[in-house]
Amino acid sequence: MTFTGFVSQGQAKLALILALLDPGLGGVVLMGEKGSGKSTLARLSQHLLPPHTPFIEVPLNLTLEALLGSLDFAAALKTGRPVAEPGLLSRAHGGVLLVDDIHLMPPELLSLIVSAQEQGRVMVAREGIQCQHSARFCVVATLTPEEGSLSPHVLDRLGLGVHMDRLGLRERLHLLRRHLLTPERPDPRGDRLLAARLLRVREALPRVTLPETTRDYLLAACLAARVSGHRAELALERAARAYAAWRGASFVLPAHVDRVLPLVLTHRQRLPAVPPPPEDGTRERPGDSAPSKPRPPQPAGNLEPTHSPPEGNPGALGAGAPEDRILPAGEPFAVRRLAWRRDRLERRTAGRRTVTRHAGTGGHYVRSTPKKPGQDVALDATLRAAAPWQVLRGRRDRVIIRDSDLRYKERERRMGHLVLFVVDCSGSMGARKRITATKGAILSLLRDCYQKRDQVALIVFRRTQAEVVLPPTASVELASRRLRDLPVGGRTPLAAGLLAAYRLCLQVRRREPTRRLLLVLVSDGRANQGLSGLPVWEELRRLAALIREMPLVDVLVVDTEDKSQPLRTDLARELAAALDAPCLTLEDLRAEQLTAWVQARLAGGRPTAPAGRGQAGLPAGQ
Amino acid sequence: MSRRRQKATPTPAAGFRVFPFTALVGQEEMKLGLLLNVIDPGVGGLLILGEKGTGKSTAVRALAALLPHLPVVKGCPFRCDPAGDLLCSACQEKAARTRRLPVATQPMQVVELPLGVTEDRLVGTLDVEHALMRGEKRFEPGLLAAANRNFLYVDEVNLLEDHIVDLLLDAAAMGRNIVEREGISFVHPARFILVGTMNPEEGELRPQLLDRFGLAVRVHALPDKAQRLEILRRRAAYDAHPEDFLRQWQPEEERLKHRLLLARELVPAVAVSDAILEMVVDLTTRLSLDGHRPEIVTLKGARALAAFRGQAAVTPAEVREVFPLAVNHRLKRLPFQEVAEARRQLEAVMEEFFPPAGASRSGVFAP
Repeated sequence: MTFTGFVSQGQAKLALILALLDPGLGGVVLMGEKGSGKSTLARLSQHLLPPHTPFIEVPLNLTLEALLGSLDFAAALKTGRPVAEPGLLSRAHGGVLLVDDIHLMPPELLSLIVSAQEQGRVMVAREGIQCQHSARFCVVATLTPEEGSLSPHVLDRLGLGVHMDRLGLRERLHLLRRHLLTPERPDPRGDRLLAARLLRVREALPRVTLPETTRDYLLAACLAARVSGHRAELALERAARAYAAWRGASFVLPAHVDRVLPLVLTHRQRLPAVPPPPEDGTRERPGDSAPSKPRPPQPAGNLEPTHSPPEGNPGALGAGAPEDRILPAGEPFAVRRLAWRRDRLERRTAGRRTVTRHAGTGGHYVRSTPKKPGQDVALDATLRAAAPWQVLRGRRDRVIIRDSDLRYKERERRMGHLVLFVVDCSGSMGARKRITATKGAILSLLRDCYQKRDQVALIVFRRTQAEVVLPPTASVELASRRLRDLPVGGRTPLAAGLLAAYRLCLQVRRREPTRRLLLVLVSDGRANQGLSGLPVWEELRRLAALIREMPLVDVLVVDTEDKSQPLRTDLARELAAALDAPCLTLEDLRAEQLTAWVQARLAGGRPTAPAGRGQAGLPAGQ
Repeated sequence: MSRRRQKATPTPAAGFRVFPFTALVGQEEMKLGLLLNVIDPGVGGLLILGEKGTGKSTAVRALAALLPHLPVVKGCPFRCDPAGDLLCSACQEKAARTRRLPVATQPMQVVELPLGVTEDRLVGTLDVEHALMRGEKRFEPGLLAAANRNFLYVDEVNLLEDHIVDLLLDAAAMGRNIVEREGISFVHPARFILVGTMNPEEGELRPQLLDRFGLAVRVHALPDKAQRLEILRRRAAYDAHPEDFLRQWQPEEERLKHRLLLARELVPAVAVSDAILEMVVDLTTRLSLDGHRPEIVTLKGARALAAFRGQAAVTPAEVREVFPLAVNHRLKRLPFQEVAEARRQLEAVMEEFFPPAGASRSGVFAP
C-alpha cells in the first residue's frame, strides 16, 4: 500500500506531513479504535522520507538499555575497554521514531522518549558509559483510546494529535476493494512526488514569516481553548507555519491557524471551553457562544456509549447547551490533613512505597539493576559489566564473571494506589446545589491523595455519556482545576459512568496488576440513560457485578440525594448494595468522615462506619 | 482443572503419523475456518472457542501434515521464503553477498506456545552459551521465529499473560518480529497462521485482542449419536492399524490437498461484485461493529471459499457462510452484554439478509 493510496483520513495525513516537515513540532499521535488503520498509515509515512532516512520502530519488547544505548560487550571484550553502542533514540536521529501502541509502552521508557525528543539529544550515564548523542527525531505514535490512555504530561509533549475518521459508505467500499487486490501492486509514484514536495517545502519553511496579527490571532485561539502551559501555543505556531509553507504561502494567515488548530488541541484539551465560574457561582451560564473557535472533533479518552440515542451532538459532554451550569466547589476542610498524616505513617510501615514487586519472572523486563540479589540474572547487563575487565582478569576463551558483575532484571510491576472518582454531573445533581459541597469534599480528597503520592483519576457522566476527564495522574493541580470547572446538566447516564470506570480499572490492571484501586462513585443514583437498550437498572446490576468481581478494587458510593425531600428514592443505596459497597449520604458527607473512610480503605483496614472524628491523632506538622 | 500438559514444540509433521484431516468427523465450522486460512493467510487466523476434547489440536496438526512442503532458504532458522519480500537480517546480508540463496524444502509445522512462556522465549534473546563461551553477541531465535510460515497454535490464549499476548498479536499483525533488547537488535519475518483456543468460561480476552483474530468458531461436543459412534470407530481403526487407515484415506487427503492448492492459485481471479461489497458493509453496519476488520475478513474468507468451490465470483452463499465466523468474537461490544443477546442479534440480521428459503446449509466439502 502507499501513503497516497491510503483511503481518506485527510486530517491524519496532514498531521503526519506537518510533523515530518518540522521535526521541532514534537511529532504526532494517531488515535482511533481498533482496526481503523492508524498503524498502517503511521508505517506508510516512511514513504515520505528521503532514502536512507532512519525509520526506527520501537517494539513492545524494548528494554531501557536498548532505548538509551549501552555498552557493546562484544566490542568491549575484544578491545578491553568500554565501547558504547548507540540505542534506538540515537539511531533515530534525523528520522522518525515510530511508537506503535504507545499506550502499552512502560511509562518510564515513554518519558525518556519524549524528553529525548524535546531536547534533541540523549544522555547516557550507565554501565561505565558516559556520553551524549544527538537525537533529533520525529515521534509518530498510535494510540487506541479504549485500550489505554497517556498521561496529559506525555500527550502535551506530542505536537499534534488526530482522531482517525469514520469512513463513509463510498470510502469503505473503496477501502475494501483495495484490500482484495492480491497481489497488491502499489504505484509508488504518488508517494515519491509527495516526498519530493516535502523536501522542497522543508527548505522553504524558514522563509515563511508569521505576521504579528496572525500571532495575536493564534494566541487568542489558545486562550479561548484554555489549554494549560505554552506547549500548545508553540506547537500551534510551528504547525501553522508548516501548513502555510505546505500551501506555498509566504505568510502565515489566520486561515492556516484555523486549519491546524484541531490537530494541536485534540489531544490537549479535555474540558469544554468555558469561561471561569462567576463569583456567586450559581448563576446560569448561557452556553459558551463567545469563544467561537472550532471545537476539536472528540476529546481523547472519550467513552461514547455505543447505542447513544440519535440526538446528534457527538461531544455531548461539551459545553454549549443552555442548561449547563458551573457550580463552584466548596472550600476544603482543614481537619483533613491531620487524618492523612496519620495514615502516611501507617503506610510507611506497611512498606507501600516499593516500586517493584517480588522479583518474579513475570512482567516486562524493563531495565537491569546491580541491586536486589534475586534469581533473575540479566545476562546482557552482567556481560557488559564484566567485559571491560576481561584483559585484566586474564581471559582466555570463556568470559570471566565475578560476583560484582552480576546484574538482575527489573521487571515492571508497580505498586501504588489509584483513587478513581466517578462523578455524576447530571442536572439532578445541580438542582440542589449539592454538587458544590460534593466538589469541596472531592477536592480535599484529591489534595490529600497528592500528598500521599497516590494517583487520582476523574470520570464524569452526564447527558448521554461518560468521559475520563482526567486519566490516572499524580497532578492534583490538574485534577482540582478539572473538577472546579465541571459543568452540570442533562440526563444521568450512570451505566456509562460505571462502564467507563470498569474499563479504566481494566486498563490500569493490565499495566499494573498489583495496583490497588478505590472507586468513589458520587451520584444520586437516579439513572435514566442506558447504553444498550436493556432496562437501565438491569444494565447497572450487570455492571455492578462485573466491578464487584474485580480483585483489589474497593468501592464507595456517596449518595448525594437530598434526604429531607419527601420524594427521596434511595436509589444510590440500592446501587451500593449491588456493588457490595458502603454508602454514605450527603448528610453524612462531612469531609473528614469521607477522608477517614477512604484512608482506612487505603491503609488496608476495615471500613469503619463513618462515625466520629477525633481519629486525627497526630499534629499536623508542616 | 489441571494445567495442560505441554505438548512437544514444534511437532514435526513428516515422519510422524498424524490422523488424516479428511477422516475427522463433524466440526465443519472449525474445518472451514482452518481451510480458509490456508487458502488465504490474509484472513488472519482462527480463534476456536469451546471445550476441551473436541479435536482442535488434532485438526490443526492433521491439516499441517496434509500441506505440501515449503521452499525455504537453506539453513535459515527463520525458514525465510527465498522468493519472499521479507527476509531476516541474516538472509538479507547473505542475499546481498551472493546472488542466489540456497533453497531447501521443509514440511509445514505446528508450533505450540506453552502457557508459561516468557518474553525472551517468545521474541528471542541473547544466545547465553555463545555469549559466555565466545564473548560474542548472537541472537537466539524464539518461538515467533519457529512459527514463521507455520501454524502457531496457542492453547488457552486467554490464560496467557497480558503483555505476552500483546507481543504475540503485535508480531502477528506486522508479520515480523523486531527485537530490541539485551544488546540485540534484530528483525525477522514472523508470518504464521495463528490458531488460538480459549474456553470463554475461564476468562475473557480483551476485545482489542479478540479483534486481531480473523475468524472465530465455536466448537461443541457433537450432539449426534451416530457421529459420535463414527468417531469412535475411526479412532479404533486408526489405533489398531494406522498404516492401513492412512492408506485408506490417502486418496481423500490427496484430493483435498489439490483442491487447496488450486484454490490458492484461483483466489486472485475470483471476482467480487459491488453488490457483494455493499452487502458486507450493510451487514457489519447493522450490527454496528467497530473498525474495518470484520468486513475485510468476511470478504477475504468468502473469496477463499468461492475459490475452494471453483467459482469465478463470490455469491451471497459464501458471505452467508463466512460472515458468522468473522463476527462471532466481535459481537459482544459492552462487557456486561451477554453473549446470548449478541448472538440473537446476529441471527436476526442473518435471517433478514438471507431469508430461509429452504436451502440447507452445505458442508465444507460440498462442491
